[in-house]
Amino acid sequence: MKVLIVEDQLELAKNIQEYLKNEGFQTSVAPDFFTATDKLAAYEYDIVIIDLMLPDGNGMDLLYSIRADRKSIGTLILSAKNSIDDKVRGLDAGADDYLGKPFHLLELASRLKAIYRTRKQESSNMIELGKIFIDTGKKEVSVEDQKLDLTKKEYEMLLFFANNSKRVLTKQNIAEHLWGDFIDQSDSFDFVYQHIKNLRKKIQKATGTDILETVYGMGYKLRTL
Amino acid sequence: MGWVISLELYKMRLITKIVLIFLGLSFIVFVIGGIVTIQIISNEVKKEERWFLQERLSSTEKYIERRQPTKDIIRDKVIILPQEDSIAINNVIFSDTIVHHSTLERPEQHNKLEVGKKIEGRFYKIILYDIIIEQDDIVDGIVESLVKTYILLLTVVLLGSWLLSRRLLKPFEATLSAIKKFDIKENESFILPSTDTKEFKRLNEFIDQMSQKVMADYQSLKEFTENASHEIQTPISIAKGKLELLQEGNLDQEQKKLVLEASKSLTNLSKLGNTLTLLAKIDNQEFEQKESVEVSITLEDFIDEYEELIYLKGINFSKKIDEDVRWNIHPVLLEILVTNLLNNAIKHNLVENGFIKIYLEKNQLIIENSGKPLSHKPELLFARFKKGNQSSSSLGLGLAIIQKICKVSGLKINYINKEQLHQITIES
Repeated sequence: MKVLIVEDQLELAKNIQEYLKNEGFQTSVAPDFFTATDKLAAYEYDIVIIDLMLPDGNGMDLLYSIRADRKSIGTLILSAKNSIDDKVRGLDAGADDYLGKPFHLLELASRLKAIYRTRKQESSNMIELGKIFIDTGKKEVSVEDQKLDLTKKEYEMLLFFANNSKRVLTKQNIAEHLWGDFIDQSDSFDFVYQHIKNLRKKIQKATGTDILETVYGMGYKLRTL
Repeated sequence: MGWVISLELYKMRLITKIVLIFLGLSFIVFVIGGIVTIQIISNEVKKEERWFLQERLSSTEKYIERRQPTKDIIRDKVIILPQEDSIAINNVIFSDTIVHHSTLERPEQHNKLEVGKKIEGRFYKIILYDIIIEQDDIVDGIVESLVKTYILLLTVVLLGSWLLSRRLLKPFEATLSAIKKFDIKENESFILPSTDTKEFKRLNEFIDQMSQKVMADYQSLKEFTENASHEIQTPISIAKGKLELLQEGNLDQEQKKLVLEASKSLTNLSKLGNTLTLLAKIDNQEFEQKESVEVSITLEDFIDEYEELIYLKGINFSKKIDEDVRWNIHPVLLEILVTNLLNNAIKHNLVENGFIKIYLEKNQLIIENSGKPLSHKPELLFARFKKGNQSSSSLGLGLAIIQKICKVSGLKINYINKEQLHQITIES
């Protein structure tokens, strides 16, 4: 997956670049509007990460121009303007997703993968986890053609694990991914344990195996299958 | 006594003060003026009397020429005394004398003329006295007329000041009420009534300049708050990213935990910034336009999103939501309001056997939840950074946001706490 990071804060761009490199993404950085248009004209990208505030222009204009003539490129808006109306405006303008600063790199990577999958529908619509198939188009999970009855949040959690199959996810990561702003840092996150237990039980019942493992003191990880 | 009066004067209206001082001064002027008038009129009368006595003297001389009396003639107001020897003649002497007044039947001060004359070879001493107006009458007359004039002045001034004060002080009153209505948070320009009185014009100009400066300062402070809380997000983002990259590396358990804690604190800081930005944005009227929003749908959507979280936290949840409830509010503010209300009810719930009940009717939204009893008045929780439990790491801004949104959207909010029951009612 090739990603263009349009971000004027170089340190932030470097963070993203390093993290995505570890995830196996090919990345390139454009620090301003001009470089971004230049790079977009010269190279092919799967996804563009756009910071709304650029030194020489508005990220929104970049979004419009991408939407106008390169409909296959996925877009994710990154902005410190973290309020609902900016989010709505960004998504209305055709962005695939919106992430407010500050964000978890983990979260960013997950969202990029989701956008990538949606964009390349033909092949990557299905995620395979051993006997489990996740249909991201229909938002359904099945085990050997048998539909698994998961709640909305259980589905999202399973997808989150699938997108970060090699990582340990903390309770905080999971809680913030599922409920965002609703999660207070003072929360104990004990409810995540309950949530995970429910999901484990359902999957174990259907497949006979426990797909998650607990990493003591840190969180949870998808078992290598 | 004196300080009591001055204290009362201190509390009086300006116009009353001016009138009283004016009346006091005019009283003094009237007294002095009365004395001067009495003096002048008395002198004038005396002059007149003397002239009159001179006239009488020439007719008396004619009388003596005709009769040539040899004996003393003493009549009312005329005394003619023939003299044996020669005396000084034509030496008119005026003086005052007290004589019994025949008609008034009492002693009265008269004007007296005394002169020696030589008529037809004989010397006469002639004494004439008379009175035209008595001194008492002059004093009485002047005092009476001055008192009457003073009473007239009093009436006219009091009445006039009462009538005029309403007109004259009208711009002042208008300025006062304009100042009273002045709200620094309203961004409306401050309109002072126009006036043609110089003092009030200056006052209004001064107030106008001052209010504009205050508003400009307030505005820049608000913008600063908004920008500052917004600008901190980028460095926080960078720091968080670095911590996350650090976590990717080979750290041991203890180190990973430290990194996690640092990351948590950064998230808190960033949330604080976001919340302050939101409050500043609401203050800066960035959510002005209202539209008719279907509250039922928004509420159901958010409940749908968080119902699972509520159950996972072991909280009993029930709702009764009427369909098609519409309120006039900015849609984004409604979303923030609902999020904060739900969040508040979840966060401050009991660890065991908690409940949340939501009712939506045509004009009101009621959210009931269990929670620890408050140790102080519920109204205090609406203040920024006020927490029910000071040790909690929550920001204490949730209710401040809820209240602010209600205020700008014209909604009424009421918070009741009865032991473990907390109830927030929002009326449209």
